[in-house]
Amino acid sequence: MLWLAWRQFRAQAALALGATVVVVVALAVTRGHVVAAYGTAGDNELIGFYVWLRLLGTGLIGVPAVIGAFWGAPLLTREFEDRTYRLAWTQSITRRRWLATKIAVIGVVTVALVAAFALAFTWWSGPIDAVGNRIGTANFAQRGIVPIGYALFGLTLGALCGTILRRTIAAMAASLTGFLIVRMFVQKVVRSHLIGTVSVSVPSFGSSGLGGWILSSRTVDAAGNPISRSAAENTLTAACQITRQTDDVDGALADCAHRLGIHDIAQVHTAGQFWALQMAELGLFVALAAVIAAVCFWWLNHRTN
Amino acid sequence: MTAAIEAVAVGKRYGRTWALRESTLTVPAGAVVGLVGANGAGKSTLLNLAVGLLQPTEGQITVLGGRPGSTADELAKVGFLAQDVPLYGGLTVGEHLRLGARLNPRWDMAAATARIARVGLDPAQRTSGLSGGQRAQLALTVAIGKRPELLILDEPVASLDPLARREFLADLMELAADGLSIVLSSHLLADVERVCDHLIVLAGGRVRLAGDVDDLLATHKVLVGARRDPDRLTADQTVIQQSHTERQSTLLVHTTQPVLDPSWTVSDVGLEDLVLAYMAAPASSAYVAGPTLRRVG
Amino acid sequence: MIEFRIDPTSGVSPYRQLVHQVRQALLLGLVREGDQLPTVKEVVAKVAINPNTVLKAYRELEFEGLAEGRPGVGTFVTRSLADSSLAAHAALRKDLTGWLARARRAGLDDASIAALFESTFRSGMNEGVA
Repeated sequence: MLWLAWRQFRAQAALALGATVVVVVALAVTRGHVVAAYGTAGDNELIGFYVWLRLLGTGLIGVPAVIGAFWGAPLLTREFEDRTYRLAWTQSITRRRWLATKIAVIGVVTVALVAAFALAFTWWSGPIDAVGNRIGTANFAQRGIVPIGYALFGLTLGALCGTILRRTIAAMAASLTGFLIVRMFVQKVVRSHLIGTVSVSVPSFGSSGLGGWILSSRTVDAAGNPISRSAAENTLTAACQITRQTDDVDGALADCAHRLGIHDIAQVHTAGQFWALQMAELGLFVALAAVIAAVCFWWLNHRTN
Repeated sequence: MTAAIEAVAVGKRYGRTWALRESTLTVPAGAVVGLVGANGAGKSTLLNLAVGLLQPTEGQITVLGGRPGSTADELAKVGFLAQDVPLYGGLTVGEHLRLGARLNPRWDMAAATARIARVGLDPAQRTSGLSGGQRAQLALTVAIGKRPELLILDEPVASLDPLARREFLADLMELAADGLSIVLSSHLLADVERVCDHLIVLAGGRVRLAGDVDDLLATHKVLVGARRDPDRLTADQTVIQQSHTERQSTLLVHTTQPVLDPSWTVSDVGLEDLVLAYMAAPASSAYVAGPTLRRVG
Repeated sequence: MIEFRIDPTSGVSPYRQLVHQVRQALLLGLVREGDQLPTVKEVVAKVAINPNTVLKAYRELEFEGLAEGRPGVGTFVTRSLADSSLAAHAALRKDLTGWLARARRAGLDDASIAALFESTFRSGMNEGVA
């Protein structure tokens, strides 16, 4: 069965491998330029890199969805539409083993190629991320190892849609839609609850230079009692005689707050927690993929009759 | 000997339509069975149930003593050639044999390769370029290469030219001579008459007639005589079909005893007429003929 | 070796046709005592009929004392039907071919030839009986 699964998949695998090799080589070759640019240049010289960044980043975001629609769904719908399942399912192999082998072969290739793309891209973006924020922005989905989780989830979701709907176009559409909904939901709602935050003291006014992802914050006085932001402002303007005529109102507020001990306590995912959060979200999507695969197998045996 | 196929009150429903209903039949091992009926009569449904591609909505079907398609062992015992001959267009002839070898533990590669050569197929050729007859021969090679005990074919010769059809049937008969049980669905009665020793007639999703062909032909007679009421026949004679003119009655009867009434002219019935009579029988009546005629449904 | 043919339109059941063809071959001396008849597998591979039909035909021949089945070996002819008249067959066949050629030259079609032969044959038979 391994032979058959590979034989049916090898053209697509070769194409994907070729594309991945091209991308990885391009990244390797250009990385030196990135380092140089971020070491010395100002913003103007970096604009060229931003275009590439956006392009490759979008590619990496899109790949897991595409894998679901173009590799996962047709795995079954092709057999239903060509009616070749009547040949495959009457050999001496159960449907379970047939599907498991096919998903395993595609899954291994998926993990390998997405890992190569994602890790190469993360390495390439290193200098950019050092001055940027990869944990607190949408960039999080284009770095590290989470794309592998997305891809496995996309693959199994595509397979499930293919098993239930049996028509290629419908299954691809359902797979893409479902993938988008879940990804967005996790990104907007679930991600902030995946791992514990760190409490950090930050200035109430002015930038903290913290980086990382600020989930929430509240203002407290020197004794640690919480106060509202407007109350804090009133206290400070009164205590330090800050008026509309003062130059650099923000700077004055910041100094005053510092002197009076008023500061913010922020719940933060620090930059140092990047890999921990990556592992958590990867784990979540791998678990989702496993559940979806289980439903897919059940449907195959009990409903495809 | 275990029956090749044993179905008890099997039914299959799609939504609100019953494709097959209350079907009971036994296919003995070593027989060549013709499954006959109009399009939509339930032939494909019955065959798909027998190979495990479908699950019955009601009733039970047992193939070679087990539930069809339930385990790898059960799947290995049955070879299937589905309607419209499914093959992988992107694979070559030789790769289909490799498929057979990899997916079936009892695969005989030497015999399969020899058969491919004998029917004139090129192992390097893609299946998308084959003619209908060549596709059927390749699919048959794959179905029998795993050395099954039972071979099930869903209208395998429907799209073949007469020469290809004759060669295909000749190959099947060679396998039958070696003891393979064969179930073959067809709407070409001439082929069925040549090749089958058992018959199953389906109409409207029900079994109308089932049994050994020689027995069926021996126990049905056409009676022609003066116009009369068929209820006056004896108890062991069952009227299957009747037609009357002003002066004459023609009856097709099932009977195990010779007809001694001299007012009837008794003659044998041909297979085609027998099949047509049962296919046209009213929906409420169905007969399964074994040693005795059994009324079902 | 006998080449069997089945005519589905003849109204004669297939196994009886096979029996008849074996008897024909015996009468014409094409098959003699001790010759092996084709195996069941050989017959069905050429003629695409159910193997039981061949088995029934061979059993009938056994019953008529014309053949004998030897398990594991095959079915063999046990009796010749050809008699001394066999020697005359070649000359008679030649005469018949000549007659047929003349009939065709005279413009008779297949049906007319068959009708002419049958009526002459039957009247000849009646005379013989009388």
